Amino acid sequence: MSEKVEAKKWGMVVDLDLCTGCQACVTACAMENNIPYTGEDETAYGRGLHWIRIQRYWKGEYPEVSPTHQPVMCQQCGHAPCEPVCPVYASVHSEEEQINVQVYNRCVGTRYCANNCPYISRTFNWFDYPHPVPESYSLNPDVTVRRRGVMEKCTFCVQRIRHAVDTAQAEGREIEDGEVMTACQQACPTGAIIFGDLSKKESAVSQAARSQRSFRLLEELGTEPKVVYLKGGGNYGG
Amino acid sequence: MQRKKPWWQNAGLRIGIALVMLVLLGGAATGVVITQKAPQQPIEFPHNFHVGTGIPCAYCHSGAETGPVAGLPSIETCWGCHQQLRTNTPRLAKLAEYGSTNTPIPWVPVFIQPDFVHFNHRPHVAAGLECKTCHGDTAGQTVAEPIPGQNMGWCLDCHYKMAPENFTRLSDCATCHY
Amino acid sequence: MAAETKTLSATHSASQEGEDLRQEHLMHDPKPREEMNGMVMEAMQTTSKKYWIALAIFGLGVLILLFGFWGNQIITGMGVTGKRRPVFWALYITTFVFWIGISHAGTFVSAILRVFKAEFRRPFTRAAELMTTFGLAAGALFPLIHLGRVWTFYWMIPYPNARWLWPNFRSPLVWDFLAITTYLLSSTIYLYLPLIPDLAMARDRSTGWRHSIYKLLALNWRGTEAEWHRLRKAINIFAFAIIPVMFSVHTIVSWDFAVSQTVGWHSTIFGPYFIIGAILSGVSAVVMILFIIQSTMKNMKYFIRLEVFDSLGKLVLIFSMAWAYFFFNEYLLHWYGGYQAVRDLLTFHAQGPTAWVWYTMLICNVAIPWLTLWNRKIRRTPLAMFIITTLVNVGMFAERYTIIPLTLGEQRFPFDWGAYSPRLTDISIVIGTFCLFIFLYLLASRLIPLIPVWEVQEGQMAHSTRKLGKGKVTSVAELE
Repeated sequence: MSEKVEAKKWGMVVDLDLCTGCQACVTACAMENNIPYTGEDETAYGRGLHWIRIQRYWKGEYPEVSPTHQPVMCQQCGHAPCEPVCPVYASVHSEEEQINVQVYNRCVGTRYCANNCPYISRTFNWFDYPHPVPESYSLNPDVTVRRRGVMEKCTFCVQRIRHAVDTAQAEGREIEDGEVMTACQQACPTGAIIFGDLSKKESAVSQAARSQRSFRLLEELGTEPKVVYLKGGGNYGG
Repeated sequence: MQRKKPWWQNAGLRIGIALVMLVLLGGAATGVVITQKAPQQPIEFPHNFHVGTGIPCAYCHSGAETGPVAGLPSIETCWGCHQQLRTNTPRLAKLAEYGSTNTPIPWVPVFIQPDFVHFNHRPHVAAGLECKTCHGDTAGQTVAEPIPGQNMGWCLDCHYKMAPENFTRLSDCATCHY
Repeated sequence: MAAETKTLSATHSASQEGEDLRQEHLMHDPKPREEMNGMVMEAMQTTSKKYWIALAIFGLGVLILLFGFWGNQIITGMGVTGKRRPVFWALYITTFVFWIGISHAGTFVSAILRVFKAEFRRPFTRAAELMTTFGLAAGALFPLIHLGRVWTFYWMIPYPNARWLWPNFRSPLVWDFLAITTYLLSSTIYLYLPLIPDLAMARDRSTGWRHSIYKLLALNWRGTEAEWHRLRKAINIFAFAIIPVMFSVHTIVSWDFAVSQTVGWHSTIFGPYFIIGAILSGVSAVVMILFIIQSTMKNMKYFIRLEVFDSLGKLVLIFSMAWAYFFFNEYLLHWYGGYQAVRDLLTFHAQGPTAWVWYTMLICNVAIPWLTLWNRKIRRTPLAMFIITTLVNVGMFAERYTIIPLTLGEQRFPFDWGAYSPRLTDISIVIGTFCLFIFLYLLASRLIPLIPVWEVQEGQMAHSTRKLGKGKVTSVAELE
């Protein structure tokens, strides 16, 4: 078992032309990752813990307006601003999966990473959020339930990645394209989200990422995000 | 004139400080001992006898080869054999109680990890590790006994010793914490 | 024996002139050592009813406002404060920077004025150094208070552990931690060294519990030639060594912001900008404290004269100008840089719904000192100085508030813009640390000789007046 396994580069493509802003991915993410519901007032104050937010912007002047929806999750930067500022290595780069990892049990809660994230994609557990009985049945045993005082963020559903990797390894084969599906991808009714290995040329995600419509958020900062957005020039479907 | 003793040479003060230190240290020592002791099990299961007869570990802890959790044997697993075997010892009488009423045995797990650690048995078994590397020599134990200091450093020690060339992968935070 | 000379106006008659000099400068109004010792001891041992009431009120403030609310915050969670996404740092870090700034000037006026042999420093170095230590004590609480899980704070300390993990030395917060502990340690030693002869003085003039405390602290000081020699040497070394430490500490605090990607923080000017701001607010705080000491404690009018307020007033004016320069510079740089998000942010500061904070900052930091402090009469009115310096500190607090919550609320994505408003817990804990500072200072004012008597006397011995032509000159003999 000494041969080096080449580092995988998990990546995601979000097709903004297909996104309808239906928030299904937000819900699916909350279900998969044990994200607590903070309630109407707290969420309105800006303390919702969603790992994906559908940013909605209006184009044009009323009444000729059309919305654009832009789901923003952790961009899993290759050169992440959140990593060097954490004093305790709780926000750390996973060399194996090439994503940013948030280690909940190491986090001391300085919240510096969140300040330094240009995408503002990190959320903080302001309280211990209860999971009352019917809700607690739906908790995912593969994901830690976070306590108060720690940061959290989108993990690219790393528990699913780990499961697929372990299974493939035990069966002695490579991971297939499409074997790992993130929760948001699974839930997206229009198939706007594609997830996979960016380092493989033939995978669906790297084919989509090579599209002429592709761009990355705040590319000028040099963060090398792993999430690619697709957006055409015209007004598709308003 | 007799010199007045400074306050720090006061006998009462010194005894008081000694008592406080004793209570603190004693409490800490007791805590350490209690957490490292084998917990009380519903049946004092003799691992030594079962291992001695040559039963493989995975016969009872069947999840170890296929999934993250090895699991503790259900009443069916025990009763499957013991229905036909001797029932004349006090331990087996207890088992018979559970077996005849078909109530699950409330085993107390010994090797437990905190919620934020996702240990997976499968890759460890697939890599050819023996159970006793982590769980100790159960052939010499009745009920399973915890291994003291089984913490993150303990895991990393082994990961480094077993596969230094894969240490980047095996020391990745996301391998266990997510 | 080099001599510095200062010429004085020669308009008055000789005797009148001598009287003026005596009234004006403590250094020209010598008293016997024994009398000054007695005055300081008396000031230290006199406690009025008002003092005890104030001590009790501020002590209660520490208990309830600081520790009570902090305890509740630890048990309930950080959500009891007003923070939200995207304003993850708010009033706590604002006050942290404020206290570190305050703590700066104690060392600044003491060490730098000592190195440059500014003679007016002699009576108030101790008061300023105490301010440094207690300001740091209050400020150093905030990195702990603002932690989400404060019970794991020791993970930021480098120590060998079973997890094979060290703190991340690339993180400015670790630099912060190291810088602040270094500064706390060195400024405490710097406070303590010149204190030893005064503690010995107090030891010889007190009885009972005071005597045993001073005896322990005075380290058997006897005042031999060798002891003085070593003490002077040590103080000299520390005065030089602590200046780079002092500059680096606030630069490192500014790096908490400057090394990040955050709009409005990512600026190379932050190091000197923060230092100037710190000294401005700190020197102002020295004036505030000196006014309170001078007007409430016995015998202090003799030691703290108008010349002190006059000179510190000039310092405040100069640093206010320097601060304004950096403030302008920041705008210039960002105008030249032309990054749209920063421009929007700076416009928001000046024109958004929270523009009053921005205007408070400019009025208190620039307009008020510039309009008043050029006037010698105002500089020599302690009450006016107290009010002006209080306003400067309000302005500096507003500056930090602008830099932290108001900047975090307006980042690159307009979707995420959000306003922070402090809640009861934020405000209570901030007020609680003010109580802590005042409480510690009140205690220390009755436990520690606030005036370094030996330094004052040393200065008085070195000063003399000589006739030179028509006028009189002050000559200062350099000791050692």
